[in-house]
Amino acid sequence: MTSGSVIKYFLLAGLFVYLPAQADELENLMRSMAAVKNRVVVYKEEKQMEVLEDSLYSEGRLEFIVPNKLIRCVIKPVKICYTIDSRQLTIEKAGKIQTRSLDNFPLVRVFVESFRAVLAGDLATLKKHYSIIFTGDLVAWEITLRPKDKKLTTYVKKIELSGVGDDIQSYIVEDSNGDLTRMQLYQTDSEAIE
Amino acid sequence: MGVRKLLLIRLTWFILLTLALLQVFINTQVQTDIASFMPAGKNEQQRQLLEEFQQGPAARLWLIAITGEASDADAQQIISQSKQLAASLRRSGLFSSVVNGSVAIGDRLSKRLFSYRYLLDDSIDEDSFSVTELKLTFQQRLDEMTSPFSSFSKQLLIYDPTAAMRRVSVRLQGNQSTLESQDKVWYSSKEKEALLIVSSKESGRNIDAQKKAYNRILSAFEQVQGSINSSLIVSGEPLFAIAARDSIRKESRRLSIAAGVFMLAFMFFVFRNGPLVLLSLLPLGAGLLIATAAVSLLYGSIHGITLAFGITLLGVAIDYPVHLFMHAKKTGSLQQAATRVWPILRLGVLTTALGYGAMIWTGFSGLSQLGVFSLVGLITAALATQTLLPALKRDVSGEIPVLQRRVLSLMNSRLSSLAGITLLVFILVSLLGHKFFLPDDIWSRDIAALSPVPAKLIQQDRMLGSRLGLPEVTSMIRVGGSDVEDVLRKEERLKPVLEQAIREKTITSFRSAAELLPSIHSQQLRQSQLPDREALSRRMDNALQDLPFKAASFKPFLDEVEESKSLAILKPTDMRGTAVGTALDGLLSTGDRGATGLIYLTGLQDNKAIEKIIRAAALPQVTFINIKSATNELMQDFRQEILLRMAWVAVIIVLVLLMGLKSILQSFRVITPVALAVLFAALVPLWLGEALNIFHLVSLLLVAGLGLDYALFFNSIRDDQENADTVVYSLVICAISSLAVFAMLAVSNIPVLHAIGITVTSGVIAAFVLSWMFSSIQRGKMKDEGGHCRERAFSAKELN
Repeated sequence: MTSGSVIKYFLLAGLFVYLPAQADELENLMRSMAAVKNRVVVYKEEKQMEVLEDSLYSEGRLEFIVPNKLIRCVIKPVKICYTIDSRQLTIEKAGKIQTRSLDNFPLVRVFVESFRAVLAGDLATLKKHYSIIFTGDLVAWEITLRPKDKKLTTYVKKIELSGVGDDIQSYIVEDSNGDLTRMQLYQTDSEAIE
Repeated sequence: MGVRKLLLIRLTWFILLTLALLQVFINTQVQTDIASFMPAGKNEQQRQLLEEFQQGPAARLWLIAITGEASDADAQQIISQSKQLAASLRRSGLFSSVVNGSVAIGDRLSKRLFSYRYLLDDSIDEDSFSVTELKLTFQQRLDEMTSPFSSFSKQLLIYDPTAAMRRVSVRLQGNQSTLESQDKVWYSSKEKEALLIVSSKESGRNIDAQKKAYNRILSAFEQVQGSINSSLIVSGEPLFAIAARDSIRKESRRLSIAAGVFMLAFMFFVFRNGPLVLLSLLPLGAGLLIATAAVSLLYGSIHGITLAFGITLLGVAIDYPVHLFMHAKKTGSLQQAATRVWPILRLGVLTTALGYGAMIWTGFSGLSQLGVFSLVGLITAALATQTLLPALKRDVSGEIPVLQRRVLSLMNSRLSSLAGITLLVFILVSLLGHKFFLPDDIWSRDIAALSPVPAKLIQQDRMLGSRLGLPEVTSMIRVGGSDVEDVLRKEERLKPVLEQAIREKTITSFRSAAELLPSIHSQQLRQSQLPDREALSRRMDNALQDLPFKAASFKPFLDEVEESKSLAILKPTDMRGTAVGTALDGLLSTGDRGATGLIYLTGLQDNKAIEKIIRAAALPQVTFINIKSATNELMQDFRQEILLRMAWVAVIIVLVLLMGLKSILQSFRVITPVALAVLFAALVPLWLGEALNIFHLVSLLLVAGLGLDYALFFNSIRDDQENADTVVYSLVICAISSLAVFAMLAVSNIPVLHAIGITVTSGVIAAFVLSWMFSSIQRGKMKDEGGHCRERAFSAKELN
């Protein structure tokens, strides 16, 4: 046995032992996510898009109210608030409120689950719409989601979330054309942004 | 009377009645809509409008809610019930549209609308593609890129950076896009109910068809309901029409059975003779039959309201055979009795019939039908009493029942004076103290007050309608034009006016055909305003200078703007069979005289304000319609016309009386109690706090007819005591029978029947009492003067 094959053996053995453990870890993570009720965080986002010469930066606040209400208020460069629940999307911009039923946008609904289901610790929904790869442990973790819906894959290639404990620290969306959205989330202690 | 003559009379009547029967059953159409009862001419436009309303979309619209219990599992079941119910109703073929969720704009239609976006978006003008505007719109798109959904929206961005499609689809969806829905079905989680809007194929006028549709909705729901604990709420204008018709029908049937049974029993009690009782119905029956036939021959059809009013007015004819039989009891022979009664009867019939005939010459087709109906009916009934009854039965047993003696012993002159003076005091007090006792406005101005539809149903309808975001169905703007294009252009010119009204909070939104599809003119104008490719490309480069967008990404936008310039214009006919086409059908119609558009308004606060705004816009053939006030106005005109005709009726009655009685004094004695009785009959409902409507007015005509009958017979009484007894007794019988029948109507809950009942009941009492008092006074005088007046006094022979 060469040292290389020994390492390989160990790695394989480790992998076999590790996989079920990883699944448990994901379930554990989801449970601890579910234990947290309402959350408010601030975020900074960078978008790299094919139609844009330069990156587009924005920042704002994210709020999650159990079980399914998400509010994302962009504060810079312009103030726009998006409120989403299981049925409708409300957009508030410059005092004007628009409401759209999500019935007409089923893909958006599924896309939202990539964030909402993680926050709510709703593993079943997450599994229904995405194939999941989990790495790390409760302390520091990373989840990669790939949409199962064929139509959704024409828009979104994959979504990567990473975090520490029950805090999500980053949320990265890679579109099918390679466009990237990187969102960093911070605890609201630094409420300077407000 | 010879046998041959007798047979001839019978045969003539038989042929006449058979012909009438054939005409009635084979060739007579009964119209039921109120619009055709209304006048032509001055109010032609209003009449058309009512007609449109009755046939229009609102009159065919059903609102349906399926409600269930609280748990979430039920929600899914209710949504699936809504889907099944919608499918079942669509299959039935009874409905032109069944909508239970946001109108699905199919893929084909949305592609088409997308390619037409630069012609459909009405925010586009010359400026829209200027550098400044483009810069502004790109800045907005950039801001929107910070949305969490940019992965989706960016694809649209390169095709439609000005977001034209977004504006087009917002306009197409109207208010309904704000309705909460689940699984594409309208479902309110707060109310736990699924909502549907269903439109019948048949016109709202066709109540039978609406009833069929209603039953279909109920049975379809029963089938989909299964074991789940859900319930159905159905509402809408067609339901009101059904409810109104059914309750009037049910009540009328109940009352006519009760009245019929009473009349038969009462007549039997009085005459103690079966055949006689049946014969007593003959003149009225013959009158109704021949009158109906005559109207349908003259007018091509008869209106249901004419029929109902006509039957009321012919009520006098029940009295004719009573007089005949009473006199026959004394003489023993019907033929002799007929000869005796005829002069008085003839005068009574002529005055009443000619009086009612004054209604024939009016622009109101319904009223004119009523004139013909009552004229023909009364004369027929009188002739039947005079000729047919004696030809069918010769003799009547001559005994005078105990009852008659009892009744007569009560009928002394002191009682008559007492009752009469009480009535006169009542009338006097009412007139002098009208400020205290009578309503300020004696006329009922709200036609809704006549509706027998329970307020609860109407409230439920409002509630469902507002939840569905449905516009007001009783107020709208009517846009007339030479053709569809003309209508659409007018609606476009009205748009800024209505948008101003929204800003001023007079309305919350409006829905018009032009919102769905712009006029050809506007589309062409927009095509001409779209810049050519090079110009647009240059402007884009300019606009994007300080923005991070890559100009090259927007090639699809340049392509499509260029293509839009040469698209064939989209017309309403191109939309047929699509969701937009269906919506257009409800907003736009074409007829022989051009096209008509309806603009529906939501959240209308102030009718007067919007009416003012529309008038200020000064567009030809554009009017604000308030169905309720239009109907009320028509009713008011109708009332004015009836009042005018009533004045003519009075004049004719006085003239005929003067000619018949050949004495001013006699005529005065006859007409005074009748006039006072009519006044009394009008005062009683007012005392009860009821404003007068047209049904009260028509009933006053009957009061006049009955009153004349009483007054003439009372007036015919001379010092021949036996004859006097017969006359008084037969009048008592007549009055009791009318009183009983109309008292039944007076206690009805149906406003229309109640109005007729209360008026006629009080009128009959007053007419009887006052005629009796007047004749008592006269006879008293005659006794005092020892017969000096006898030469001038009216006698049956003089008239013969």
